[in-house]
Amino acid sequence: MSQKELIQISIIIGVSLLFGLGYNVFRDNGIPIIAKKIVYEQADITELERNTTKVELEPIIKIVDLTMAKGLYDRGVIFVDARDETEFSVGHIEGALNVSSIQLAELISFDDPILTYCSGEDCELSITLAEELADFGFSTIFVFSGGWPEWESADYPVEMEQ
Amino acid sequence: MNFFKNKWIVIAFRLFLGGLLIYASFDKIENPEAFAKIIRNYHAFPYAATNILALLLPWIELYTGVCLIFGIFVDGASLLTMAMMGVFIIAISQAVLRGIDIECGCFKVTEGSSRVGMRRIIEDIIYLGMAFVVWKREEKVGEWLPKSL
Repeated sequence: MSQKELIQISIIIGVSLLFGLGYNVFRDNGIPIIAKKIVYEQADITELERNTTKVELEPIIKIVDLTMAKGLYDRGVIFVDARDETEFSVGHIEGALNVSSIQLAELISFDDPILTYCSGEDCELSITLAEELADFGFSTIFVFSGGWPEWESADYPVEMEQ
Repeated sequence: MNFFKNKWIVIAFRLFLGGLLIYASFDKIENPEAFAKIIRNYHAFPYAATNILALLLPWIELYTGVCLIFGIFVDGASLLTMAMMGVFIIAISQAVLRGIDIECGCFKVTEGSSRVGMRRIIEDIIYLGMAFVVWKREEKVGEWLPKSL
């Protein structure tokens, strides 16, 4: 390949880059330039010993069990209840929020770790919410698979309807 | 017959490849998200790079096609066409070899996208050959940049 060809190729790629990225900025269905990977991972309990508030480079959704969830709770991680308002008002984990992604973004920073939960193993709401939060820009998200029933039966702190 | 000496064959190949590349770019430019998903399905590129590829590749196809048709930077454009076909051949081959049945994303990325397979590989090899003929052409006809002597 000669220098002349290299220059020509560079110009074609350069113009493409300019238009490709430019068009992406001004269009309605633009996509992020760097693809975000949502990774599901079984959280390791030893991670609690490390700093749980560390910022992940790519959004990672980690599935955690009861012990791990309690550990995160004790470390002040924000718990978000993914169930509907009615179920939430009947009873929920003490201090948990029942808010949408938009509301949460106004309350806390994207770097703050969040845990989502709903009504246990066969409930998809916590996963859906976690994915939504990852798309939104939150970087550290945990999903407590056992959810409300497991927490309640373990006699951990709850808030019940009076 | 010497392909490289026949200017009409070279012009016909330029127009054909140019038209093909331009046609292939439209649907991808309009649907970057769908094209990015198809690229990810190939499992051949780093995940983080798939979006930028989806944004960049269709525009390279478009401009390379325009260059080939209008006789601008034909040397670079024909080389770039060969490079793209090479990448497509490798990407499709590895998918076929690993037995993953995925959408090709060659021309359409939304509805009616064809699947990867031997046919696509053979087609791309033919296009690569045509681009090679254009690259090795002996006579420059209908080329404006850089000015032919």
